[in-house]
Amino acid sequence: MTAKKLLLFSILLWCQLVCAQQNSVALDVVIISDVQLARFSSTQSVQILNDSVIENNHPSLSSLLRYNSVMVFKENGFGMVSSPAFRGTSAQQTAVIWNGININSQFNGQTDFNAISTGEFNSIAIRGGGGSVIYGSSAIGGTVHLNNEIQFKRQFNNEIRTNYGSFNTVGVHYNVAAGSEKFMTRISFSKNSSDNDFEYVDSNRKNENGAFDNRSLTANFGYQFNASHAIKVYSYFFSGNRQFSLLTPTDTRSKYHDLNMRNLFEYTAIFNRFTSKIKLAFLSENYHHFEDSSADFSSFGKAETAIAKYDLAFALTKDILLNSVIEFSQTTGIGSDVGNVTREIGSASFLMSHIVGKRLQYEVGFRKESATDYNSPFLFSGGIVTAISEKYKLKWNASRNFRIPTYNDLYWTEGGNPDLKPESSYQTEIGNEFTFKNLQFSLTSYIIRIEDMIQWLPGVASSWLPRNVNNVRTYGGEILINWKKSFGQNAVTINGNYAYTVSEDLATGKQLIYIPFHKATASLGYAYKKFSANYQVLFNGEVFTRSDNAPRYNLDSYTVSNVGLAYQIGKSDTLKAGVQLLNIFNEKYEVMVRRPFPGRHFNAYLTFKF
Amino acid sequence: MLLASISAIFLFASCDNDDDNDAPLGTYDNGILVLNEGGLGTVSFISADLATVEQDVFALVNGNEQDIGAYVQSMFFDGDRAFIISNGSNKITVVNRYTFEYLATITAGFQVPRYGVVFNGKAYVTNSNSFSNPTDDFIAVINLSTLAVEAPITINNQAEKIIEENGKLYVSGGFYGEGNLISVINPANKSIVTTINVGESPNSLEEENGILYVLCGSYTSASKMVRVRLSDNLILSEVTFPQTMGNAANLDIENNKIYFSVGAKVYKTDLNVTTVSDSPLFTVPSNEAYTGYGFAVNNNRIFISDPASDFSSDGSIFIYNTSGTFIDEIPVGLGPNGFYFND
Repeated sequence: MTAKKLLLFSILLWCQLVCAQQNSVALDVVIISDVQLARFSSTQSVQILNDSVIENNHPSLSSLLRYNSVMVFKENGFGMVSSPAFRGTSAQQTAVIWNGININSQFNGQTDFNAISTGEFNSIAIRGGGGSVIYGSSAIGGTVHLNNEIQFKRQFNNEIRTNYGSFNTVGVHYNVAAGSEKFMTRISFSKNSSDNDFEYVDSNRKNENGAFDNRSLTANFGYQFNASHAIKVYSYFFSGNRQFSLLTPTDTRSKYHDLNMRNLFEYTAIFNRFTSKIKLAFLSENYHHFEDSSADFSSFGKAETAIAKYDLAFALTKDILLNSVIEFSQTTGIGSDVGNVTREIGSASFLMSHIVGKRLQYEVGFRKESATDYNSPFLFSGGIVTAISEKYKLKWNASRNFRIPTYNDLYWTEGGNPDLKPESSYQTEIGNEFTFKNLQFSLTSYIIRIEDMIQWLPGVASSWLPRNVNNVRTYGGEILINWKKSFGQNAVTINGNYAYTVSEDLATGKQLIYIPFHKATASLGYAYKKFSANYQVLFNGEVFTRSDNAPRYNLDSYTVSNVGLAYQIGKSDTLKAGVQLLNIFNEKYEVMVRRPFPGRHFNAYLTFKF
Repeated sequence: MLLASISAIFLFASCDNDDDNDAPLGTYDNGILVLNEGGLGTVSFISADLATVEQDVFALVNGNEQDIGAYVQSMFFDGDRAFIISNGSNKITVVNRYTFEYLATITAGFQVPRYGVVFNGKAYVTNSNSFSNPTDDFIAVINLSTLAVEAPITINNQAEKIIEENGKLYVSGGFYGEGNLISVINPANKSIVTTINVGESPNSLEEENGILYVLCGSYTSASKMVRVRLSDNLILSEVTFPQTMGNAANLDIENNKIYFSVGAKVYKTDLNVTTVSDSPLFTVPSNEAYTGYGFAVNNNRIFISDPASDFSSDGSIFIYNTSGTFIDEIPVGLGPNGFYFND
């Protein structure tokens, strides 16, 4: 993507109000399925990572977001299970949205961010704050959006990318996009594997039993009958084979296999001022956990979800947009440790966006759910954005969101509690956005109050039992900076994030474990003719590892730097070779107790486009 | 006169021996070792006069590269060696019990090891094996001079606590409300002599004067104590506790008195009672859910542990005397589950 295109992207994104447009080209409602992300997020903070950022980072979603956003991740060792903490909330309070569909696991209510390879998506967006009105359960701290684009234009593009790095890390990625004005197809495939047997810094030990081999396949297809009717089909398959790295060398060697499939069929009809979309989705998750990889026995879980959604948008006037969404989903789950249960959820949402004059826009939304196994609260979201000047926008948003009890919470054979209520949150945020010629800068502060948080505690008749016991309050601030400048043939970009997070258990007044008070990332990119270089750095502050915050158990803060160089061979954009040196200062660090990450290591890649 | 000088020599010699016996055998002699389950397990040391407390003595002595494993379950002794069992890492770490210097690790032949006992140069360690199968438990046999693991003894039932008496091993097969057997094992020929059905989940056992006392806890009905005559393995009598008491555990016998706990309440009774009333000797002032996770009576003092309910921060221990008077509360590590004594 050239610098000029990037600039255009950013201008149009920030230009919403001034241009009085409902669409934002960077998140073009015509080419992505998650329309509400573009149309109903004006009062919240949205950060978009495009394909060039995705390319410069490790293919796992966990690494990409750790180095490029305010999100914090608890990772049980490099490549192992990774769960997010967004704005000091728990892993189940961040929802991952795939082309508009919430794909958090039915079993544990979260997504493993190392089970998503980023190469399959055209863009990845991070939307801070509440989103349950649009996306349902788990959208409390924020949502992460994985988007595929379907554009009807003449094209035939192929891309092959291979990489090889330390610890026998091998990656292969291929995608092809072909289309005309009437149809489009994009197919892509990724394989990422590694022995992952890195040596611990300053130690005789090395990472054992940490190998992984993840494969994913995406197939998207679109057909446009005419300007008013189109169908789109999205499919995504992920197969992950991971060994769980050992805490101590004599631990039992275990491994984990998961197979996830997502399918979405969408039919769009536009007539008069109505846009009508029928969406049918089928999701399936399937895992096997081998506690002892030498034995055949495994615990397993399988959940299949069928979703039917009807999304009707009506442009009442050119400034008022109304959107109602009715959704019905049925999930059947079965597992070695959960009862065989079917869960049905129906929901209705209503959203409205109104641009008033040239400087003000407000959004309002409501959602109510009806479910077979829990009582859903009435959810709402409302916000205002106002352009104080051409360069400064002020945003305010307040919402009520929730997180439903999961299959494991309700139906685990030893201790599942069918009387659980959903967790619910009240939250509000204020955002300040500044747009200058080369600089975008935003400062957002928020406060979230979460009630009835579900925690598994020692029981009486069974060893552990989940209950709605906790109340948590999180508050803090986020700063996002983007700066770009071109001097002749030189192009420089600087991106930075900083987050300050206080997340406390209201009963004890203690900071939740593994939530740092401070986190910052920065990346510096430089391009000159065919040559480009990139430097990124991550700072993660000291964290508590005990619920009573006993300081002797704190994990030290750490700073990790990565450097990359790339060169375009031959004609522009055809062949590119690059090398990355990661953790260049050989920082010794642990993301979780006794789970060291690799020291200095490298990665080399070759990209071929035709 | 020769006799006088000879006896004088012996006198002096015995004086020297007495001096040697009084000198501590290491930093951690004359005190209490508290085993903290973890996460990664640790051991806390408290001097007998309660004046000195040291946390994580294994790491203090041996550094951070080594560890005693995840979820340490229990410890047993042979001479001056301590054997620390980690059920999460399937290993036993061998250290000097007085200096806590690392000696060796035994890693082969375990599958969720739980408790061990020493007899005739060998150690016998119960293993839960797989959680889905309650009858595949076994006893790992370790040669204590070579530390080599020999062929295991299959139990065909649950195996948790283990004691030795008169050349026989008595294994209780009870785990969180399940199981109902005591297995009697002849270690000489690795055979199961017999099994004794005690009716409900046996969680602790002690021998005193030829009688085996077994405590059977229950979450749903009344707990009870069963007396078994060891000469012929016959059940002599049972004492059913009041239903209101709850799940009784941690049977310990000292100075002809029986002690046991129900959560934070500690009870004391005589050896030959026929009924027990629900009037505790004392109740530990704690709101945590797992008070009594570890319990022991030693040298006229009662030790009871109080882990944090979420197992996510350090716990503490309470010490009382055998009349029920509070002595001290001392902070220890994560999930304290057992007390062991160097005296």
